[in-house]
Amino acid sequence: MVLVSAARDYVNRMLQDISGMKVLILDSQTVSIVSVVYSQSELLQKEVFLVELVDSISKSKESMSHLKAVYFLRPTLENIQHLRRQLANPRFGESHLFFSNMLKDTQIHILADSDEQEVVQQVQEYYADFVAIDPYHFTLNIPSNHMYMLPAVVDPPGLQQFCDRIVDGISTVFLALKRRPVIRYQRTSDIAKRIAQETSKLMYQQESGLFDFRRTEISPLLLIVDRRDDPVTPLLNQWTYQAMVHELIGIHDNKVDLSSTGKLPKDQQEVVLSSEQDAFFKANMYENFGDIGMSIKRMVDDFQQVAKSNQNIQTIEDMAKFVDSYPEYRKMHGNVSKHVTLVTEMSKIVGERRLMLISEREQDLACNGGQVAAFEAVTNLLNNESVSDIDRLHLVMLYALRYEKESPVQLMQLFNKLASQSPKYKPGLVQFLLKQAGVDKRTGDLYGNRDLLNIARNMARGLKGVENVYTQHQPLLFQTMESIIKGRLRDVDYPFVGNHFQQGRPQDVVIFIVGGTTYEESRSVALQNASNSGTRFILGGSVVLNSKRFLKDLEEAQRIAKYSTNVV
Amino acid sequence: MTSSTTTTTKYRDRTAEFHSITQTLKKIGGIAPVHQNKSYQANNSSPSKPLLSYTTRSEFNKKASLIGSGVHETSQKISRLAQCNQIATKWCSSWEPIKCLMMPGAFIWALPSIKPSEFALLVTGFHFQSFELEMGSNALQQLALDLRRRPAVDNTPSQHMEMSMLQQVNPRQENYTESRAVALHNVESTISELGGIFTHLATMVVEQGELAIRSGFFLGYLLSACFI
Repeated sequence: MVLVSAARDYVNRMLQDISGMKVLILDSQTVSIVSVVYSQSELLQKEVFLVELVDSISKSKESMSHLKAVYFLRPTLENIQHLRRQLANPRFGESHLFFSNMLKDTQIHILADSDEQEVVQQVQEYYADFVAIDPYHFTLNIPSNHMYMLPAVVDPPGLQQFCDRIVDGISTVFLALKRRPVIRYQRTSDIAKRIAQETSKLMYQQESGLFDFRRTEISPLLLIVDRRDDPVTPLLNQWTYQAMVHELIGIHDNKVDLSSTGKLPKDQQEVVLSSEQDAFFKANMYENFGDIGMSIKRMVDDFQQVAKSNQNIQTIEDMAKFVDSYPEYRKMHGNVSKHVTLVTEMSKIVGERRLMLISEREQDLACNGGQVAAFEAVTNLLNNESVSDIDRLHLVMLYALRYEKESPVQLMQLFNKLASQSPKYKPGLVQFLLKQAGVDKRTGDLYGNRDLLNIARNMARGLKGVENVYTQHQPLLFQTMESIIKGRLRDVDYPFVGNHFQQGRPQDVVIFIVGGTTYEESRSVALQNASNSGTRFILGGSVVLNSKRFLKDLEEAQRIAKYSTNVV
Repeated sequence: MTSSTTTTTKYRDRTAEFHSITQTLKKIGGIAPVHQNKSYQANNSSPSKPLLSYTTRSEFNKKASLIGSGVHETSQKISRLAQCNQIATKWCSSWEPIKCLMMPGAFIWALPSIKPSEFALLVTGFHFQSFELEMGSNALQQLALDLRRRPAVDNTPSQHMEMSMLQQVNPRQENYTESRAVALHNVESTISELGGIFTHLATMVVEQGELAIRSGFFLGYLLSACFI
């Protein structure tokens, strides 16, 4: 509940003390922050009659002095400029300014200077600079997410901005939790190190007063890792509900855009998938596809029962009862059709792309050894006409990541086959992936074959057998969490920043993945937290990845890297 | 859950800081008129008394213009309210909005026959939300009495008067009374305008009341017809 309720608390506090009719003015980022934790009807209950974007609101000149303006903005340069213009010619009766992060003194000066008509009633910093999509999962929705793969030596423009946004997001998570963490990072990643150091500087030097909570308990842990340490997880096809929807259709700020599927009524083209608002989704978001089919069938049966009883209206009392329960009935109807549409759509895609066949191979590549058999299986699938280009690319990438060093000749054969059979394939992309996230770059034991203990554990699992071949993969994050709980995370691989060390086992751990999280990892965190190990994990990332986004970032980084080496 | 988190999230209030900056900036901006006063004082042969009257006069003018703008805004609000009410009664047969409006309606009916002192009370009783009325009711009574005594002289706005007064220093006393009269005249005319708007509103309210009674009657008739 932590993140969502913290963000809700901020929005609540913003709106409850201002009486009367309000207009809520947001920017493109805070609109996500608010929308994932607050529904439209809840806003209406707080007498918010209008929600506007800060850049669109300056286009109109119409005076609305009966409304009170509640601004919730990130303290960026553009937003301050917008505010300056709007305070000089106020359209609304009062202005209440809330910022999602720390204001600089110059910014507050600029604002005070433009408030000639004294419309500003209050200026507050409410630290909700993160998008709390699930209780233990936040994202920052950074558009230029490919930045993390660019070599820091080149220091491309925009990299500082990318780092700043992440530091802003992480620091407000800790302000909202009222804690100051000890910070560790993945040694082999330059970007993780840079972010860790900048965060530490902010928390222990620049704003040490703000972060000093005088707590005596053990400090929480902030661990910053790089997506490239586990490039496998975002490449796999997913079979649990939330992760699968994101992989096959796409979730953005807990909303799913179904307009591409066609033939849907307009009000169902965009549906909300929020664990906070939808009890069915909350109960089934981590279940696998087969179980969801059963749950949905049960839900449809229940609904039909209710629908049948509604048809049987004979007396006035029945009628009154029906009218009373009608809103609930409509809501249930909407929910049923939403989930049925989603599952139907997904099974269509699974059939078309033959994902059952492909995913089994993918899981095998990710979890089990055996290079010879794997090479044969991948070659067969590449020859199979019905396998889509995108899945071919996934398979070759997964193979390359695992058997990078074992048989370079066979790897070359696969590259050539891929290039000849997939016209859309950009040459060198797999090689670029290996350069970025190959075995030499990684810190964690991705395939569990580096030390004896892990090998033994894998063998034990092989003997026991797996419950479900499609969901046997465990993300690297799972191991990392286990190591943290057992206090076995090695200082050599994950060094501390500064001289703030861990005293005892941390109760709260925030793991931030530079480059983006996946819903598979979010599930792993949620299940870990449900097991009551005494340590609570929160997962955050620059974006939420599916394979499409991961490959898009990879392509973009490859393009820029090529360009910059040409220049040099 | 929510109550427990109320204390666990951190925030920082920077309103005081903001306001102190605005105040400082205001003070810096306020230096210029002080200098003007000083140069004016140096040019004048008998400085102390006229300066005082000048400052009090401008203060008076400021207040008068504030009242004027307040009255203007209120009348605008009332006309908007009337529009809203028209729309509302078109669509909604509920009694509530009409009931609310009946109260000030009756109050407004008495307006034309009201005595000046009562009027002053009325004005103070009225909430001018958009500005702070600093005058007490005594001052307002005085204002109302003055209203009746002084004939209307000129229609030029008070701000213009202030400017011209800065130039003609000599016939100060006459200009002073004149400007008072002009300002008060402005106030008077807006108040009478407001009275007109109130009357209009009141008739409208009564009309709507009748309409509602009629529709209520028909509804009752309709209901009884249905159940027979």
